[in-house]
Amino acid sequence: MARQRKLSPQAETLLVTLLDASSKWLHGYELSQRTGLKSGTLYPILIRLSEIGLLDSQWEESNIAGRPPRHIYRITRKGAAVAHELQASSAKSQTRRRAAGAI
Amino acid sequence: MQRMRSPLRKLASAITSHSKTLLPSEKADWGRAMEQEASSIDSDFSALKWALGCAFACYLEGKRVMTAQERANKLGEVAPVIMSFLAFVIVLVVVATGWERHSTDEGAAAHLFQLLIVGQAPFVLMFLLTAKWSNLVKVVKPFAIQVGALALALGSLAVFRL
Repeated sequence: MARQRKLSPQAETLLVTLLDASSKWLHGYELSQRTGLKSGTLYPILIRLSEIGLLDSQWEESNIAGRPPRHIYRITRKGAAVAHELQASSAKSQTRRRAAGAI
Repeated sequence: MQRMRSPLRKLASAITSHSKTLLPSEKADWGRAMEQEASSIDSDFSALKWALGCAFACYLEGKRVMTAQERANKLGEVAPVIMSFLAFVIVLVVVATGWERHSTDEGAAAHLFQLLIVGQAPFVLMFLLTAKWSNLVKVVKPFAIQVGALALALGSLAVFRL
């Protein structure tokens, strides 16, 4: 089985943000504002995460007349599992750091 | 009534619509997503910033799926145009500043100009050798741009009688 490449810190941030939004669909611009990632960084990550099945995307019709439909994104089950793993490992390393500081 | 679009908004729209052409066909949907996201942003300036980021993202994505031949072809396509433009800028600088006006020899500016013109030959050759001749428009159009840029550089010499 091909080994999955390690996610970049930005991709991890994005995945955790999507996890926090749980099953809510988010727009690209909203994701950019929540994560602080610029569009030039955000889209390559969205494309990559979508390719490896960590996020779902679909089109949403606008409520405002004349506005085109927008792409919206949501974390998949597989993505949520990865994000949970990331959160757990980050919590572990924080505990280790705290323990090391206490010695 | 339709609202007038500001120049910033028009620029953002032009950038995103050009950017999506840089993406491979299987990612065309992403290009459309970026374009429509930019048009949904209320602030014109934010939309422009968004569009510039999208252009960068599309460029990276396009480059990622390029084969070695396509990369060589792109380099061969772009480099001569940039070199001609630099040569043109040198002519303008010489005219504007009078750089090396009293020099008895040809001078550094002339040598730089000649290098930029002659140095294009290997790139043009690389472009022609790596081009996909089955799609003639994709060969002729960039080549015409290269010729146009070269004409601009050489023509400026003639115009300013250097």
